[in-house]
Amino acid sequence: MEEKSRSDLIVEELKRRKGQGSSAALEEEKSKFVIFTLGEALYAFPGVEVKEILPALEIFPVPGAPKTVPGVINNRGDIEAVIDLQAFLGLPRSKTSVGSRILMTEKGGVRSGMLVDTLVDVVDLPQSSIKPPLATLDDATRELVAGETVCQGRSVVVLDLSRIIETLGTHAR
Amino acid sequence: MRAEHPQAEDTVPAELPLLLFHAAGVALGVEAAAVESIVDAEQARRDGIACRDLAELIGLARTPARAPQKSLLLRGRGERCWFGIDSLDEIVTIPTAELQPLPEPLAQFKAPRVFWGGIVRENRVVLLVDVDRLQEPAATAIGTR
Repeated sequence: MEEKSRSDLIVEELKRRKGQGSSAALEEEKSKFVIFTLGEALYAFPGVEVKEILPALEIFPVPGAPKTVPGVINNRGDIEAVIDLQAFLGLPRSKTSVGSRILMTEKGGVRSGMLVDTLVDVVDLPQSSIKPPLATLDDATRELVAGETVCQGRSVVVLDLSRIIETLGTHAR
Repeated sequence: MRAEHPQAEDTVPAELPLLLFHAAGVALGVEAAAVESIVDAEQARRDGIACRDLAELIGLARTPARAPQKSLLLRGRGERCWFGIDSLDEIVTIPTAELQPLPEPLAQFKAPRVFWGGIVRENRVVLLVDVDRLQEPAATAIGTR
């Protein structure tokens, strides 16, 4: 059998590596993210946690509820609570407009409407693109952030829905 | 999903009569069975009936400040008390299947525990008031007795 030249071996190795690279790229899992604005900044929830995107329905106030929960909505006959994410994150409140949306989220059996300024996009992002939250975030906000990513050249803060719901629970005690 | 009234007995009736009204612009309801009497607030004032402002009790701000227009005599946990409200809407009989619990995370909060659930009526949410809990907090009495 003819012995392979060194160059043949190199070419074979390059082909093998290239093949591995392409399959790894194919295998990299992508997840959906629902991107929205709060004020000027971009935020996101994992798509799997957003069950429905509603227009800014009339919010019926519930006396005694904290300011982070402005009230309840009638979602096709179901009464659902609405959380004001801006108030919750301590951001200055923008006025609810026609572009405002309520994202119906569900996590751990808790369904809540999240009031956001505008819906930007629903995108597929590779899991590897989600980086840990910036160290410069204050501790309280950092606890509510699952990570950060970049979409269309802009930084997007991915929120941790479980932590938001847990933190709301602590407000209650 | 069915709301659990705090006083719910083992046998839940198929329908529940409710008195619907407004207080400080918010649509509210109570079990009709808890309502003993309804009079004009002005009449109650003339008769010197001590009356608690329901809106104030549950933390609703009156904007603009306006005295209650109607007074309800409600009976809860053996006690009877007059409450001032804005206006009466109607008495309705609602199938219990249409009663909904207060959604999470609101159900966790202490303050809205005065509400035990809600119904959707003409596309609007009506919060149901627990008469027993209504009498728990201290309130500013209006009137002389």
